[in-house]
This record gives sequence, structure tokens and C-alpha cells, in this order.
Amino acid sequence: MGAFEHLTPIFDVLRRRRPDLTASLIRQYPELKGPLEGRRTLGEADAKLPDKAVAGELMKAALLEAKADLNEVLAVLSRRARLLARLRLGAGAISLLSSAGVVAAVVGKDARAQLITALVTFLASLTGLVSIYIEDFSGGDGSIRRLKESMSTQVRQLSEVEGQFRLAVAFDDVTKIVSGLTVVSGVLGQVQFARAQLGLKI
Amino acid sequence: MTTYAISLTGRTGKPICMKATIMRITRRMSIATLILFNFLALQWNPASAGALNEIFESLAAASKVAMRAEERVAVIEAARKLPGVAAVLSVNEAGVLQLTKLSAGVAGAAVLLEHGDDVLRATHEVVGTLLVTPEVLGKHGSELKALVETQRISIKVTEKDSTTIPVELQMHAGGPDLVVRKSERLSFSPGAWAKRGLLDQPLMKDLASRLRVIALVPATDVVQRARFIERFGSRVVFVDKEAEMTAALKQMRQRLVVVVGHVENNAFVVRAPDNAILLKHEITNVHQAIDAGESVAVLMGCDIACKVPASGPIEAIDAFQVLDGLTGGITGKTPMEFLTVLADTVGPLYIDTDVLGRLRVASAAATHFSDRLARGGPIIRVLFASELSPATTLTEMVATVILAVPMFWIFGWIALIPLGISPRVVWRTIKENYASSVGRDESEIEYLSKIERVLLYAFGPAALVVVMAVNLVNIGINIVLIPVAVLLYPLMRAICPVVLDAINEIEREVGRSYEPVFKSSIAQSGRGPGLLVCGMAAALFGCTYYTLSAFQITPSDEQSLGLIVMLFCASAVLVVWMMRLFPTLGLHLSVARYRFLVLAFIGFWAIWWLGQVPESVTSVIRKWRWVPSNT
Repeated sequence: MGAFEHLTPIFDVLRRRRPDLTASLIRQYPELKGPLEGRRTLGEADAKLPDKAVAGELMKAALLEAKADLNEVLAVLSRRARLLARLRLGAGAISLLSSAGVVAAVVGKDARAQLITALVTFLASLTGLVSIYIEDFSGGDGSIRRLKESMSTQVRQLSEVEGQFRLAVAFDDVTKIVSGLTVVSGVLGQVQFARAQLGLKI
Repeated sequence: MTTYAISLTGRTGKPICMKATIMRITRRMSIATLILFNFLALQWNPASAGALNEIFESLAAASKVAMRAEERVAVIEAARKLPGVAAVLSVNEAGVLQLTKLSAGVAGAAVLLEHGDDVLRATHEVVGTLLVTPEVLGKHGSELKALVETQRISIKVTEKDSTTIPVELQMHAGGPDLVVRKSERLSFSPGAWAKRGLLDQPLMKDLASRLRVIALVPATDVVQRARFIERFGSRVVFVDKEAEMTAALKQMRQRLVVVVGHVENNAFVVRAPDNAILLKHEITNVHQAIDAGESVAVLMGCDIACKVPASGPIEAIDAFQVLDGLTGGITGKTPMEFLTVLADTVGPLYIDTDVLGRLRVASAAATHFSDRLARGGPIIRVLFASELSPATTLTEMVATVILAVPMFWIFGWIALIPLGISPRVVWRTIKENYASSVGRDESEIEYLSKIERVLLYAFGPAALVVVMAVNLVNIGINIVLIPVAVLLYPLMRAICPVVLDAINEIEREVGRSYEPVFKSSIAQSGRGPGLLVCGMAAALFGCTYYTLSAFQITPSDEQSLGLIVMLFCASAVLVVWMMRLFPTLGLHLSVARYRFLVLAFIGFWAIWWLGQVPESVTSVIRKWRWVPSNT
């Protein structure tokens, strides 16, 4: 694998969010042309370390866009989680009310009323179950709960790597910057996966 | 004179006169049987079989000589077009290597080279271009390689139309190898080039329908996965774990499998975005697993052909270009077009014989309309109705037989469909059998003359039926004796009424009796004797098989066929005799048909099992035979 191949999530995000910056990077650093254009080389290249300028510039842009991407995903996740919670609450309330209605209808011996209230109860319970399923299990790794947990981890990792990047810049340590890029790439890989699961643009 | 209880009538209740029909059927069946048995007799007799083998060997030799002559004409013609000095290395009709030098298009005397080693010495003075025939390239690759390495000579191989293709050295897994450079981006090993005819056959449509792409892409690379799905939909299998890889490879049966993945050293590797290794699978293992599933492996990773001895790219490649190449390539007609498009899009490709091995198997696995028809179309339902209703049995059955006989022999193409073989499969099998009979390579199957094609079209299906019959009988007598009896039951059920009525008619004709000898309803006359024949035949098969195995006699295919026919006829004769002796037997058998069937099979297995107890039963059986006593 070449020096930049494993950083494809960074290049994919930059290409999507910052096409202008991507074009500028291609002009400035022709060695990044292939990865920035989205090529996936299927073999090993000369694994030389990116120089300080390239790594630094990439890191800055990646951190910025990773935060923006992550915020977008977190916002969608929160909205979805809220929606599911409301659905559950509503379904529970309807279920509760219609259960009381069933009792009343049974006592009143009105067959039509019994049928309608039983149907409403059934639908409300079903909605509640579906919302629980979507939140907890649907899609396996792509369930809302799992994605929320994963994104929380990515937020923490991003904060850590940002701090390390500042230190590395202060100490002029290119190796640390490059290893930081790898971490950001991992974070963005997970974010991209979450975006795909949520149906957002990738 | 015993009078039988039941009469044979048609749907309207009127007696059916079957004589003319039976005679017609008998005549046709006799002709068919004569043809079959003449063929078998020819094979049975060792002298005739020897003559037959001689004919086949002569055909094979003639075919080879014709091909050599054609190749030599093409190579000399190509050499004449070359300016300056050239030499031609070819094989003469006797199979001896010969070197011909040409100067300004004029050929000199040919020098015969008795040994392959002489090539180096004989071509020592050759300057310019050395033209070789495909046979020389295939058989003397090592000498030609040495020639290129030591003498820096330009070698070209000729095609049938006298065009020349350069032969060069190229780096591979095991060092520099001789390759035939078809185009700037497509090179072949000499072995693959010799069999390139297979690549020019229109197999790609079938292969495309058998395409599966194994994409070694991590789940986090959603961009790449989306592109794969966009192009190949459900035909792509994503893999980023060892277990998934193993499962995916196991699923690939008789397919065109394209593996797209990142290569490090000699292994496919999948890495997570943080550079951690998720999967590592040796390329040779992938290749072997795909080959074990009788599939064609197209491995697309950076310079695979330089790392392992297999076909593949010889430079770094890009996954998205592979997608473009595959999408464009599978629309081609032939595998050669597919490889050309792939190479033009992706980068230089090296093709070895591994790609060729399973091309036919994978393409043959594709399902067509004719295959679906063969598996259960209207023709089968007409010819082989699952149950013939008693009211219409006789007329329908006769009509079916009358229709089936000419269809089988004259329109063999259509008649083979009820056996579950489509015309497409028949034609391929005929060509393959013919090619192997005359000693041609698989890659030369398509090179048939017009006369050969016409003859194969006309007589191929009938010959195939004969070959199949012998093989099926062999399988039947060795493995599935009991199912044979089960299969005979419906056949007998259908044939018995006709046979019995025929006997009635014959009796009436010869004036022995004005009353039908066999009076039976369709159901009772058919089922009872049919069952009896089946049960008896099963028991006789068991006894005969036991006796043969006890005396360690292994019959040939033809003898087995003869034995089955003989035993079946003996069973039928016995049944007719028993029916006449015990007139109500048919009725009893009809009532107790299921019990009888079960008892017959139990009896067969009992004989078979007791046969394993050496002395007790063997002594009984030997009493039945005339065995000279030692005392």
C-alpha cells in the first residue's frame, strides 16, 4: 500500500465537501493526484512518508471537514433517535387509552366498538415494537443505537488527535502528524459508513 | 381351453383392431433395434472393434497431418512477405522439425532436425526473423527461449491467415518467460496461445451470465462499495473478513469469478482505514479454491502475474478501472474480446492456461430457454405423461409411440429434449466427442469443415443416443438395479395392453381362436403382468449379478446391455406363460400390486444380501448350475 492509499476516506470527504480545496491540492501536490481523484490502487507502491507540508495541510483540512461531517451525522442521529422515542411514547399512550376502551367495549357488549379499539391497540403496539427494533437492532452495525455509540467514540478520538496534531506541529514532528492522519482516516471511515447507513450523501 | 374374464376395448367400448398398428410399430422398432445391435455387434467383436479403432486412429492422424500442412503453408507464405533474410521453423507431415531459410522471399532447402536440441545449432547462422508455427512454439518453447536469450533473434509465430505475432521475453513469477505479444497490452504464454482457439469462441454471453465479482473492500469504504453495486448489483460479493472470504469462495461453482482486491506480496489484503489488517489470503489459495469449484478465476490485483504463476495484470492497476474494464468486456462476444477490453482499460495483462481450463464448463452452466424446455416443457408432458388415463390409454399410447419413434431417429434434435438434454448441449457434446475421437484439442472444436458439420448435424444425435444408451445401461446394471425395475413398471403398464391385444389379433389371424385369448381391461391387463415382469426381472437381475460377481466375471458395457435385454425378454416370456397357466393371476396381481412390488424388491435385496454369505447360498446357487464335481 502506498503512502496515501489508506487515507482514502480523507480524500473522499475532501472531494465531496471541498472540491475547490481538492483541485488546489492536486495542483500543489501532483503526487496526490490519484488518491485525491478517488483512485484505488490495488497494490503496493513505494511507501515513502508524506512530507511535512503535505501532511500538515491534509491534516488541517481533514480535521475541519471531519468535525463538520461528524456534526452533521450526529444531528441526524439525534433527530432520528428523538423521532423514534416520540413514536414509542405515542404508541404507548394510544395503546394505553385503547386498552381502557377495550375494557369499556367488552363491558358494553358493542361488537363494532370492540373490534375498532382492539385494532387500534394492535396497531399502536406494533408501531412501538417497530420503533424499538429500528433503534436497537435494524441493520446490525447500522442500528441507531450502535451508530450513536460509534460516533461518540469518533468525537473523542477526533479531539485527542487534534490535540496531538497541535503538539506535533509545535515539535515539528512529521511522523506524529502522519500517524494522526491515519487516525483521522479511521474516524472518517466510520463517519462515512454511518452516513451510508443513514442515507446521507457519500 | 381356459376362458379369460376381461376384454380389451377402447374409449367407446368397441374392440380395437390393432394388427396393422402393431405391425407398423414392430417394423420400426425392428429397424431401430437392428441399427443399435449392428453397432454394438461391431464393437463386441474384437476384430471389428480393432477395425473401428484403426479407422478412428487414421482419422486422427489425417486430421493432424492436415493441420500441420496448413500451418506450414501459412508460415512459408508469411516468410515470403518479409524483406531480407528469414528462416522458418515448422513440423513436417511426419512430425519432424524442419528449418527452411529464405532470402528475399525465395525458400532454400529444408533441413530436418531430428532432436529439439538441434534447433540452437541449426539456427546459429540465422539473422533477421525466425518464423515458427504454433505447434513448434507449443512443443519447443524452452529451445526458443534459449534462442532469444543467447542469439537475440526476433521470433514470430504465424496465424492461419499468415499474419505474424511477436514472441518475446517477459518477467514473471519464476523469472523471464517466453510470451506471445498479441497486442501492446495483452500477452500470452505459449501454452495459452496454442489453445487460443477457445478464446475466439462465442462463449462470452454465457460467461457473463455466470459472472460473480468478489470485491475485497472494507465496509467503511462505502464509496467503492457503492460503485461496485452500481455496476454489478447482486453479482458482487463483498468480503472483508476471513470467514466471508472462505464462504464466498465455496459458493463459486462453475462461474466466471473475478476477484478484485489489494495485493501485498503474494496475498490479497484488506486493510481498515486505520491501516489495520482485516483479511489476508494467499493468492494461490484463492486460485486453487476457485479452480476446485470448476470456475474460471480472473484475479485483478496489482502485478499478480509477476508474483504468482497465474494470469493477471503485470503492472499496478486501479479498482475503478477494473470496474470499467469488466463492464465493457462482458458485452463482447468472445473471451478474447473480453480480455482485450479489460487489458485496454486496466493495463497490461498476461494470460496463461489457467484462464482457459474452465471456460467451457462455466459457459455450459449457463441456463437457456432450451434447457428450461428440456427440464419440463410441453413436449415432455406429451411424450411422457405421468399417468395415462385408462379410457384414453390405448389410442394415446399408440399415437405417442408412432410419433416418438420417427422423432427419435429422424428428428433426434427434438427427441433428445425429453431426456433432459437441450439441442445446445447436444451440439456441444457431439462436437466434443467428435474432437476427442479424431484427436483434436478442445480449442480446435470449432474448426469444422462444412462436410463435418453436415454429417454431425445429421447423424450426431443418433450416435449420441447410442453412446448414452450404453453408458446408461452400464450405470443401471452396476449401481441402480432396483430403480431399473421401478422404471420398467410404467413402461410395462403402457406396453402390456398392446402386447396382449397383439397376441389376440395374431391368434385370430392364424385362425386358432375367434375368441380373444387375453381378455382384460386396460387397467388389469396392463398393471398385473407389468408388475410381474418387473418383479421377475428384478429378481433375475439380482441372481445374475450375484452369479457374475461370485465367479468374478465383469461384463463389458455391450454384454451388460445384451444381458439386460435377454433377462427382460425371459421375464416377459415367463409372465406370458404364467398368465396362460393361471388365468386369474393378473387380477390377483392387480389387487395386490403394491404388496407384490414390495415383496419383489425385498426378495431381490434378500438374494443380494444372502449372496454375501459365502458358503450356504453359494452351494445352493451352484446346484442350479452344472458344476463338475471333484469326486
